[in-house]
Amino acid sequence: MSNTAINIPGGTIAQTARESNLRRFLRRTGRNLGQFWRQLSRNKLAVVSLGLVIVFALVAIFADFLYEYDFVTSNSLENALLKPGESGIVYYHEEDIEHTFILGSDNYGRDILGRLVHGARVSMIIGFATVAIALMVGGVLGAFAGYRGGLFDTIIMRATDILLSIPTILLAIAIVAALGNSFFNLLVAISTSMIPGYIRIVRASIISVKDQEFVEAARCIGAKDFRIVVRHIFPNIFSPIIVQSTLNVGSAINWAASLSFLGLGILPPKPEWGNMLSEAREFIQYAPHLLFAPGITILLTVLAYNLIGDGLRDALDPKLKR
Amino acid sequence: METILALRDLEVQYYSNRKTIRAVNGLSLDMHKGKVLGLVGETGAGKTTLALSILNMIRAPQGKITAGNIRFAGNDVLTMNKHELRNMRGKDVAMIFQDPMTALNPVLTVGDQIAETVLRHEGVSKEAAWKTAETMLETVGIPADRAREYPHQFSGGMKQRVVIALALACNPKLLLADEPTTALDVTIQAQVLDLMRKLIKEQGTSVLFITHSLGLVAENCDEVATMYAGEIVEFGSVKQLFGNPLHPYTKGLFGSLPDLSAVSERLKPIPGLMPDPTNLPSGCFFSPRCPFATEICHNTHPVDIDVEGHMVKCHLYTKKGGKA
Amino acid sequence: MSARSPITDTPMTDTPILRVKNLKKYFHVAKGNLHAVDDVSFDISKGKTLGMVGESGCGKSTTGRLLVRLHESTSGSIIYDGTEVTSATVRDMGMLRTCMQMIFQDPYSSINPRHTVASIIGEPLKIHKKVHNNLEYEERVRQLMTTVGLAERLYDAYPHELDGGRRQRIGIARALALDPEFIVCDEPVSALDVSIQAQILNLLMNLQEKLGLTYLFITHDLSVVKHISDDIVIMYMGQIVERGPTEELFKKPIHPYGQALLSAIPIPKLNSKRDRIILKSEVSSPINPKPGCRFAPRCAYAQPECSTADPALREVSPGRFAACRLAEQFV
Repeated sequence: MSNTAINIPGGTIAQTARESNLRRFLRRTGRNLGQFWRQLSRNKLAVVSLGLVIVFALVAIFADFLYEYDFVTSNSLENALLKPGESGIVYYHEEDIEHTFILGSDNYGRDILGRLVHGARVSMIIGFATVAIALMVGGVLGAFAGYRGGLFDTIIMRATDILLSIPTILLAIAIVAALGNSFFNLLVAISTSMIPGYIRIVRASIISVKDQEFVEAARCIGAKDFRIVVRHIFPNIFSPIIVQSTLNVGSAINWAASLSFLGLGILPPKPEWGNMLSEAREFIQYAPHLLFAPGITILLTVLAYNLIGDGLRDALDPKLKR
Repeated sequence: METILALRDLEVQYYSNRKTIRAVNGLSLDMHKGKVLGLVGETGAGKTTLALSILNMIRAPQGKITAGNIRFAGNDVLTMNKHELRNMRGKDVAMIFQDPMTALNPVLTVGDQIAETVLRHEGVSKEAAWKTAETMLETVGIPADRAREYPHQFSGGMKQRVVIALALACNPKLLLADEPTTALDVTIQAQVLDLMRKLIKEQGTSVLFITHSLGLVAENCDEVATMYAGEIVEFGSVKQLFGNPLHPYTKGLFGSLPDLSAVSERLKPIPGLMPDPTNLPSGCFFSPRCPFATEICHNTHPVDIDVEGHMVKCHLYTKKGGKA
Repeated sequence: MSARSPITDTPMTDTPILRVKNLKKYFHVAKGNLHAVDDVSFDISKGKTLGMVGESGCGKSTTGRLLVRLHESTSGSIIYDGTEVTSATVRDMGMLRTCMQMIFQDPYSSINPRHTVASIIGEPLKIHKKVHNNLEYEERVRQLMTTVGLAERLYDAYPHELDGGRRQRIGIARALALDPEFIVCDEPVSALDVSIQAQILNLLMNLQEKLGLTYLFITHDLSVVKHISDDIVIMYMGQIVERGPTEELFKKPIHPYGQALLSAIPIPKLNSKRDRIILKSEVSSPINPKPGCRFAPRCAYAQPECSTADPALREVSPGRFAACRLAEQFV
């Protein structure tokens, strides 16, 4: 295809070449994605889970269109503890509105489905933000430890061992308790407890890749350390990290719910799945749906992320390719 | 000559990702008692699959023997029950694998491993089994007092000797040696083969010697079979096949080897690659790479042709007085 | 270990492009020093192939890696075309890398599975800024692919779509990208089947003829080394035990280890039964080796004196070197 480009006069040559490069890049990426999807789609559970996660993500993104935030946080005691499907009159924005509580209402008369929808937003943000923070910090530290080795490696790994010896949830509780109760501190707590895992996985992957002959070959053609790490090592340790991250999103959502349940995360009246569960405890006998709604939502979300993680692990394994 | 193993029209397939890999395709082969048969071929020719089939060790659902039969000493291997198979494996038919590191159990002493095999198949006392293990180790040149050591305490060549001792401990009638020396250095290979030759001669064992090296065949075997894409394309005595190779693939293999005794300018490699076993060519499987291929080669699958007791599966010999 | 006779420093023939003197590489391991390469000296003449043979663990691969500085040497010197490699600065090393390249053993692990054929072959061009625009880059990569016999349609292919022979061709094209003069070939055909092996050997020989390349050809396969080399060195436990022109060395090896090694080659011919020398025992440990000839414990001719001092590599007959006290009796 480049041979035809030679005939094009002066200035456009580079442009033509670049265009064909772009086209080639797109074609290659398309081919890779197609192959990846064929692999992933063999795992029906993973596909269903992916669908579920996408629905949850859309709900979280468009939460404000579904239910207004103020609506799900304001009390209307006359509608307290309605059963799923019951309707009630809500005084909202200085008006009385007839409203159907699809999943019923809680003890303050707030719409449970609405609170779940806005809780999804919190959970998604926590899930992805904590993983992103942990991945960045843990990834860089792990990469240095694995590639450089030596004293730096020893220090990092011993520190990691110490962190890992503290139960994750306890560590998170300790951090929130020490820093105080806020959304930001919750993020810090959860991502800190995920960092050791990332350090270990990135370090181990780098060590397994860095002694392969293609890394030696790269050094032999004069590649510098930075290029070797970024161009040669990272693409090869991508899959375990993606898998780990997917699983971690599930765990982070779980931990956020746990901390909120214990009163250390997001506090009511802000909607969050964990604190909804916590508030519902008192009404387990007369209004079990208060408990089931957030409980099943948490279960489904975490399960979905785990199943996607397993599916990705298989789909990204080059040994299973072709 | 008494036939100890007869394979007839054997077909083995593997299944992966909805693709069928045709590993062995209608293969027939006779092994004669007390002879060493060299099976030569390149990676992917189906050599190891063939050896595993003889032990009926192709596992469903990954693979399956889809046609043909295997008779060992007159018994049909494919219809044996679990008990009969267990008795056959390790006792009547033993196998030596390419990699001695993975063939030995790392948590048992080498003496225990040999004694266990003897105990299971010979029905002797524990003491007698241990005694046999020590004797076997000494036979392969390892002092008996090392029987209590673990595999990792032995070097590569020593481990392969242990594997040989293990394989020969029950006086098998047939030994399947799958690239037994490929993982070893040449001087160690010479040691190990020297020993193997001596032992099989003493015990009168028949051997299927699987290798990719024509040199090893010339020095260790009585008969040779060339395997290509799951078929035996040529079969004859070492004298016949090395003196007058008939099949273009066998000729190609010889042309690919550097000649130690002459100064040759360039090698004459076989062009192209092994065919894809999920998509074998029509006609003769070798025809796309064959310099002599004609119309018929691309369309019709050749049959075995007997050229003075020397079997070849090639259309070139149909007219030349050979009989199908 | 001890000082070797200065005679080893005489060049073999013509102008040496590479001179290695008293090269040593010790690895620190738990039990002591592993003498991987122990006082090795040799020259390679321009446009020639030096075959380096020996069994696993004899230090041949380490030597190759020392030459292109994938390992740092413990002591000794490597002079490439007048430049000292062992102490070259980063800038000099960049220059040297364009002259000296390496082809690796395992075509499966030596190329990055996540890169396309073109980006593997073209990477050296990008690193050393040998091309100025994409068009030039693409043309050069395609030209390299043609040179090594890779179809141009494989430009965007990934390694896992290709067989071992084609992968090895990619490795060769990558090594050729910078127009080097000298290439270390570390067992380039050992992982390949015979028919593919022959294709790659022919390619390497054609390239040498066409581009005037100099090879250090490292292998354990003696028939391959005989086919491709002009001169041969035989290594044993980190040391060179014998050196000489290929034809003469194969006709009559001098060192007892060379004799045993050559007699062990299986020959694919009828009635080629030779007097095979079966060595006793196996290679001893290269960690803190005892003084004296390293081959002595396995040598049929060994005498008590052999275990006292290192035998120097010396010229036994014109052009033929051996490190054996008794060399004269084998000539």
